[in-house]
Amino acid sequence: MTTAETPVISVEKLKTYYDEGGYVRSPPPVKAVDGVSFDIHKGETMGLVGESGCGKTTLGRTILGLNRATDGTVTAAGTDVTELSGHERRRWQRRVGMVFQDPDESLNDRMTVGEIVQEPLQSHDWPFLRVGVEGADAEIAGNDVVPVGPDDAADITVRLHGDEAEVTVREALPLSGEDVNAGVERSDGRPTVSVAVTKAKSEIRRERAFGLLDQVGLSEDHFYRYPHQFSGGQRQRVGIARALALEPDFLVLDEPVSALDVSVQARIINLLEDLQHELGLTYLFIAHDLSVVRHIADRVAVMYLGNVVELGPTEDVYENPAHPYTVSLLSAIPGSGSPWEGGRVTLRGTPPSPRDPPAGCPFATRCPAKIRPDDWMLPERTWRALDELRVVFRTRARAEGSAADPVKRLVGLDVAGEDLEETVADLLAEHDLPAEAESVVEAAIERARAGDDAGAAERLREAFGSRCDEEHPDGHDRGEDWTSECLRHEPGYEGVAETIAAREEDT
Amino acid sequence: MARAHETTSETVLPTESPAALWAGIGALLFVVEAGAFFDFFVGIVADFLAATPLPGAGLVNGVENAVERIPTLLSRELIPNGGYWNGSRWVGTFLGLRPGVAWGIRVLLVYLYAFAFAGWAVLGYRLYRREYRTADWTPRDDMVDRFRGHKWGVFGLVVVFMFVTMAVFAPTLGPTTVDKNMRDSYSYEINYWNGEAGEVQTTLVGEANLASQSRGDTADRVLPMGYDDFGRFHPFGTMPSGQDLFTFIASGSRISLLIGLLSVGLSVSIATTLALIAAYYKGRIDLGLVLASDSVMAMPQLLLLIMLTTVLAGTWLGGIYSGGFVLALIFAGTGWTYMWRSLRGPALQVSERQWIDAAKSFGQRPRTIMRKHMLPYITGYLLIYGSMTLGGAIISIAGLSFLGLGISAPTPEWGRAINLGQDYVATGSWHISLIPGLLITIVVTGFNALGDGVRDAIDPQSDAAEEGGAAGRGGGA
Amino acid sequence: MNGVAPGGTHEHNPLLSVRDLEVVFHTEHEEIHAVDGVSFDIHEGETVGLVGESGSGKSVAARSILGLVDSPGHIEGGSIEFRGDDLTEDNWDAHRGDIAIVFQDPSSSLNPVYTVGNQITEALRIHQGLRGTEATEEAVSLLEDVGIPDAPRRVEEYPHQLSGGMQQRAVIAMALACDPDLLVCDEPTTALDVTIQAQILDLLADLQRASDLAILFITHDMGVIEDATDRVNVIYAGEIVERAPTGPLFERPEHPYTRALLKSIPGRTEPDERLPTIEGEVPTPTGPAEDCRFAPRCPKAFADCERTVPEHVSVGEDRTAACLLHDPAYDGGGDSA
Repeated sequence: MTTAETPVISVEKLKTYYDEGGYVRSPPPVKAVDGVSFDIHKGETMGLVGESGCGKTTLGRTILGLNRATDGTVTAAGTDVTELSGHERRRWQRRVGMVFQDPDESLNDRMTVGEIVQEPLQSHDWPFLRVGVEGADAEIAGNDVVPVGPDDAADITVRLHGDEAEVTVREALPLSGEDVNAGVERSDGRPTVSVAVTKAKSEIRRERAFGLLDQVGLSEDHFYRYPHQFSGGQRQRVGIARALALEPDFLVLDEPVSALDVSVQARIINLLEDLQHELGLTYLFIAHDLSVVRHIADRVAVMYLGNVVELGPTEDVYENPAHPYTVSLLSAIPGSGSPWEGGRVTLRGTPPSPRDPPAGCPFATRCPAKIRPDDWMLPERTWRALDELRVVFRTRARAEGSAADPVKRLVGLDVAGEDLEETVADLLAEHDLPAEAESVVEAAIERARAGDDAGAAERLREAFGSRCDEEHPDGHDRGEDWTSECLRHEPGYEGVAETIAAREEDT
Repeated sequence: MARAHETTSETVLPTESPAALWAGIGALLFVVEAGAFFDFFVGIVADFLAATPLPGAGLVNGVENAVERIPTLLSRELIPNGGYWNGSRWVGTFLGLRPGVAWGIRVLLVYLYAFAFAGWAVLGYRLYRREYRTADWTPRDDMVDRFRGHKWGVFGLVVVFMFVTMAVFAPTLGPTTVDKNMRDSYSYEINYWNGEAGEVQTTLVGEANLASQSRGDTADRVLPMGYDDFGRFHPFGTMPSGQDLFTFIASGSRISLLIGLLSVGLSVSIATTLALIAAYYKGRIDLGLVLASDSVMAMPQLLLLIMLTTVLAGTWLGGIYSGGFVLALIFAGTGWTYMWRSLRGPALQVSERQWIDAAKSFGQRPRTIMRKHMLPYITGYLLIYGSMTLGGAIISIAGLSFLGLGISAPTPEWGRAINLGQDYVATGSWHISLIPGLLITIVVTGFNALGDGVRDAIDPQSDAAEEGGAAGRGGGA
Repeated sequence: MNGVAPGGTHEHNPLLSVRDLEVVFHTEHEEIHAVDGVSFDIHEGETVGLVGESGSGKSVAARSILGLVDSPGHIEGGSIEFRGDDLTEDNWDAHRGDIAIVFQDPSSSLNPVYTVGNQITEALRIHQGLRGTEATEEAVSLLEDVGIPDAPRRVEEYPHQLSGGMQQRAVIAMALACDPDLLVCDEPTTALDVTIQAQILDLLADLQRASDLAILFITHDMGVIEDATDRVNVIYAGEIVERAPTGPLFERPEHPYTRALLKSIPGRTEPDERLPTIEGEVPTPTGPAEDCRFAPRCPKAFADCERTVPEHVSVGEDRTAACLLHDPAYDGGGDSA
């Protein structure tokens, strides 16, 4: 869906790092979002999937302004919203709403539903009562009204017929023409239109709140009740109503249905789709449940360790995933409702820590299609065992050692040396390594015994690593509007799907 | 104003418009004792202004005088106890009863009135809750219900209420007044029956006091619930100076309450504001506040107190409430740290909740977030620590006054009463130190009990009992 | 509820046999019949699933098997027979080592101030009488069995140093330390990512094969049930509404609730179609059943449904459903409607 229109949101090389540094010695920052770029077009739903720790929530929050971006830009309507602060940022936050994950937590229990939904309205002193004049260039006068700006839509339109003023009010506003009095004065040729609104703003806000509750499928008497008295699904509806209060164009939905039962989930998903059609909204739908995303998203971005590894039209990505991570993710969905028809590709181990992401491709440590160096001809099982050994050393390098360790080392005691032997023996037991490979492993163990686990991992990487460990892949085009960041997409390499299939047979 | 909802069975008040009736009762109750209330509040302001160089002191004094002339129902004039025996019967006491009994009746009526007033307030709450409030349940309801069932907490509440009543109605409760008995005792005369002479004689109050001193085992001493030689009733006995102990204590309760409230009020305001700020902004601001509060905590409170009290002794600042104002300021200034520490934890916990994020997401202002979304959740802790600190403040003030450092003489204060009686503790005049000591204990225990009750009422632990029920509840859209 | 026996066709006696279990919660406002006449069997070496939404009573049923139901809840009826012994007669302690449980959130199942190894050796000490180095070695071996790499090192680590998936593996290791015959898993993978979930499900399958472990798998995720279990019990508002072997249940669900539940799964509807939903809400059972609890929401309900409590009738080989549509005694019933 390539459009010549400017996208609603344009994210460019966005980085968000958390720095929980102490004041004496800061640990490396958590690279939650590490260079992400994509566009979201008007009216579409962009799905953002990934597992916990991949940074999808942080990405959503950065767009909204809840987290500060470390680098990169997020452009909306021509401005970089990451640079905004104070007043400007509040204006941006009027145009984007967020629905949170946990319906039990995202509502303040001490406020009634009515108060919760009205709070954004009160905070921004909505409605803004922008007045536009048709048919003449006139000055606007009035206590509660402001002249409409160039980019905004007018709430109240006054059409001048000579000295008569005809008032129309924007439909979405719970205000009618009868509540507005407009008069015209002419002096020095330029007319002045004075507008007075007889309905109190608080009244308008109340009615808007009732309208919102109705829109999300709740009833009027829910206005007076407390969240405690509702079920999870109903609370989530309140959260949606609140997010829509200020008439945003763009909604970030952070796992809006994850905490709900399946049958409730279905109703909320239907509601979200209906609202999107009714109000012309654009969604960024963050989730870890791939089936839900498939249903609701037009395009999907798959995130891993702060990177978007694949981005494309939903159907394409789900039917022919290009990136090995997407393949693993899809194949892990249990049950016959899964979109994946092949065998399950079970990933080994856990994702690396975002404080210490791998240099090169972030997925290199677990990739089922990792490029292997040509120097060695080893079966896949052996490669995987070596990978695991490397991970063991890396984890040890990062682990908090006890205070006694350096002392032990000084004295010459073997720090976890025996354990190391055992671990290595376990991992490599059934694998026949050629002599050179053995010696590399031995060298690594030596380093580890001396306390240099990082060095041990490094040694293994030098010998058994490949391009995947060194180069960060660029995005490759897989089709229209479809990119995937994998080195295997370069010519000369076997395709991802074939490699995975072949290796699965091997193991 | 909303009309009362239709209730078929029990109505709180069996009328068409309960609110009007309730308001009417309230007005009646208030008018009856308006003089006493005004006297209390105006008196506080007057005392403050009297000591400061601020303008308006004269005006307030005028108001005070005017207020004193407002007739009240339960007054010393209506139920007097300061009469004399004329050989055959009591003259000048209520219904000719013995002074002790008359005094007892007046005290009883005052307390009955106070409880009636409290009952009226509770009635109003129930009326509001059952009939006028649109929501049929709020989170506060559970807390109130839990508190009602908490015996220790209710006991604490009753004790505190009685203490406050004593403070507010002090001039009415004592068998005599501070003016007559202590301040201007040589300007007043009393009549008394001289048994030896067989006739009614007159003497100055001051002289009478001299003859009623309780100093150890002397014959002159007047024990609690006793009459002195001049036919005056002393519910708590007399002090070594011969002055009436009960009047001293009733009057002293005012200043204890006032200084306690002042210092705790200030403390709480500072602590809450800073706790919310620290919890909202976290990071450097939190660190800075921690450093600041640690520094303040490191200052020796007692030394600071002695120093400042001495330095400011002669100034107008030190004269407000006889040094009580300075005390309150110092307590607040050094005590906020502990409360801040206690509130910081809950505030930080609340700041991590998702609804705070949600409010930030639509651009809510920090001040509003702190007020609407964080403050309600730490109010409970505030009440707990506040009430306990109040008890602590009362003890501190008493202790300092005992040492001579707190409220300067001759303003009555409980600690000083203990001090005055300390030489006689093991003698026949044991009552002078013991009674104020007991009262302090009871009142502070009352405050702590109240804090306990509030804590149990809001404690999430109590919610665990609810969770068992929730386990079986259904969940749907 | 004496309809068709819930065990299906097995030669041996079941390992665990739950019959007409009733668990009631007495709160100050109401009486909640969280589990209202639940019956099912588990045989050795098989994985039985208990699937339902929140509020269905499945967690309460799981906890009652282990005697973990606390006041205000009480077991007020029925029996839980483990190898013939009725546990509801205060026999839980006698069988502590035979049944183990794995809960949903591993970070709250593990005590953060003790090392992982310490917690496993504690279980070993209680149930197998091992101490000292012997216990530690066994703990290491258990950690390896559950697939934690570098086990000798991990055994010394604290729970916060492990990722969510590894924590859950450690919890499974703790459960295995008692050498149980039955492992009850209460939503063990709900809090985990889908790839980690796949690993844990594989692990459980491996463990079952290795030691003939019986597993009771409780979840709300139909997909997981489909992959991980041999037989399924569908529970709604405290009652079991359908029982069947897994494959046939998913191919041909017979109870309207099961059908509706399966249809609500997003993966089973085309992306451009609207998701089918079930109107209404799950009821909170505040009294013993007087009618079919699903009737108010059932698209196929008829008059008798609101008056009669459906009993389980056979709807195929080795499967039953509690629905009047399949009960030949009622009008409107008979064949699968």
